[in-house]
Parts: sequence; C-alpha cells; structure tokens
Amino acid sequence: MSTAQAASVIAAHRPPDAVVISTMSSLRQFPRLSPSPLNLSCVPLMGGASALGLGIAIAQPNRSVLLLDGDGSLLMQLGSLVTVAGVQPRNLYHFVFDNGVWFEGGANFALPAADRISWTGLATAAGYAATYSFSDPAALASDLDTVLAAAGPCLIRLDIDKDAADRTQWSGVNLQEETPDSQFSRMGDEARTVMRALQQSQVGQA
Amino acid sequence: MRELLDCGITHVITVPDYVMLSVYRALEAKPATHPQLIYTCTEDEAVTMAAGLHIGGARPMVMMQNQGLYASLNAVRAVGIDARLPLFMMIGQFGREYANLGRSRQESTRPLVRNCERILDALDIPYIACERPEDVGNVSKAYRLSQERQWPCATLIGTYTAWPGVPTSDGDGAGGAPDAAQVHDAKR
Repeated sequence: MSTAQAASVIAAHRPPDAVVISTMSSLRQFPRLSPSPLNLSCVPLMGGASALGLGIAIAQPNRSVLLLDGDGSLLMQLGSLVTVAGVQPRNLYHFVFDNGVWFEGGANFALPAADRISWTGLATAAGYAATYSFSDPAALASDLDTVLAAAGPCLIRLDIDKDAADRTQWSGVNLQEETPDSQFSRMGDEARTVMRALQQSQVGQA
Repeated sequence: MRELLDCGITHVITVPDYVMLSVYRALEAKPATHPQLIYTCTEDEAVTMAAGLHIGGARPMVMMQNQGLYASLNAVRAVGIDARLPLFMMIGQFGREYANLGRSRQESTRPLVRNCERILDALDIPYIACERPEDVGNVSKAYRLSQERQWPCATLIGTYTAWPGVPTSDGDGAGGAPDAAQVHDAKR
C-alpha cells in the first residue's frame, strides 16, 4: 500500500477526540486528509515522534494518541520502544510506516537492514501489549476499529510500497524544494493549538 | 525537593545523573506525593517527552547530566527553540574536579564541565547555578523563567546533592540545596 492509502484509512477511522502526531512521510498526507486542532506535526525532529506522543499519552490518559511514525525515524530512537513499554500507556497506538527508505519518493535511500528488520518483533520484544502488521489498505480498514479499541501500547506496522509515493525523484533537473520558515514554526504553532483544544475540552488531564 | 513541589512539577523525565543521585532516591521514596519519575533511554527522548507532557497539560521537567545536554541538543533546539515550548532542565555537572569547587566552572580543566555553559550560551538558553547554600531558590527561579519566556532554561547543579539524614542548609534532607559540608563529605 502507499503512504497516502494508509494515511487515508487511518484518517477515516480516527477517533474524533484523538491526538494524532505525524512525522516524516505521513506528514505529507495525514494532516490534509484529517484536518483537526488535535493534529501535531513532529518536524523538524526526525526520531522525536515516539517520545512526543508518549508524553501526550501520559498527560491525557483518557484520550487516544495515534502516532504516525516512520521506520527511519524510529530507528533513530529505537530505545523509545522500551521507554513506551516501560510506561505501558493503554491509549497509545504507534503506527510505523515501513517503507524501508529515507526520503520516500524523493531519494529512496535504503535503511540499514531494511529487508530484515521485524518491527512487530522489536515491539513485542520490548514489551508492547500488542502488535499488528498490514500489507493492504482493505485489511487495515477492516481491522483498524478493533485495533484502536484494544488496550495499548500497540505497534501497527504498515507495509508501504516506496515506489507508490506521489513524488518524483530529486535530481539535477528536479531540485529539492527550499525548506520554508513554516517548517520550523509549525510544531510549536500546532502544539499551542492542541493545548488550547485540550484545555477547552477539559478531558483527561493527568 | 521542596522547590520542585512548590513549582507544581508533575513529572521528572530523566536518564539518571551521577551528581543528583539523592534526588532520584527521594523521588523514588515518595511516589504518591512527589512528581512521577520516568526513566528514558536517551536524553533527547527525555526532552521531547517533556514537551509532549507540557502539550498535554502536565508540568514536567528534565533531569540530566551535562553529557546528556551534549547528547540532546537537537531535541532541545527543536522543541525549545524552534517550537518555543518551555523546557526546564536540571543539569548535573558530572566530572567537575573538586579543585574547581568554589571557583568558576569556566576554570575547570575538563572540557565537559567548562563547555556546558558555553553551549547553553550559544543557544541563548539562560541558566542559574545551584551549588551553594545561598543558591536555595534558584531551581524555582529557573523553572519560572522557562514558563515566563516559553523557552528552555536550566539549573546547573555544580556538586553532589545531599543525602537523606545529612543536615542541609534548608533542613529538608535529600534534594535540598547542595551543601558545602556535604561536598566535603563527598571528597572524603
């Protein structure tokens, strides 16, 4: 499945009061598919999504936190699987977009051991409550409500086809885009929006 | 410890620091009344988790060693500086030589110690030292500053924190302000 397909299914099944943290490839898809004051972009901070989501999950125990992580991103903080398992947040659902590459579509640099890593195996060994793996959007759509109704922490591995990305590879005739200022202010701006939304709802504060 | 309670700290996120061992022991001893202590695998994880807790409505802080500051700079940059979220860090000056106690940290012969403040300066992160009896209150000051500025702020713990049962300047046992007498005890 493509990143866009996976993000579309998650958007369709998102609990309305869930906080959703996007990073890396999902960042280009999920916020536009599911606009909400409870969306938070972890950028530019590759590797930070798992800890950011864990912090919110602890502070908001009565609210689901959906964490849309990248495989390369999670590799940068592999220990966070253990930290999450240590806390055992029942409300944390950790999606890993397993495309096996950095810069999906734009460069597709292969991750170390990309074809041998077992994300479900790593999460199980760390102590997650449950793990799932989906290779096609129909199966994901069929099961996701059940997954999100179960107690976390859950790791949901998504088998992503890197070649299905809606992006043309960068080259001398297709240069990388300039990084805009908003890339650096986005996380903070969205964080303050999330905080206001949470304060207004007055639900589940620790 | 009293200062942390006065600040309303709800969570202490940390990779343990050698300088502040007694504070960890004090936190572990009273989990019902003290801030929740959460250990992480790396300091950048601790920094980012603290940001998440803040966004979720909690009042977190990070405890780490000076080495942890070096290790977590990109996370501090992202959540504290670019995102402008408050981030209160209590940083233990691991490796500070006894000969440097009572003197400027800038005179330490050890780059790990000496450059800690230079790194904070380079990032425009204010810090307040906490290593003498008269420094009581500096932890609260640093915390309030991070909240007022919505920006990172640090307290630099310059010497070992006192252990329970050993009188300290604030009469509160573990986690009080570092006491000069305790420093001498540690030297022995």
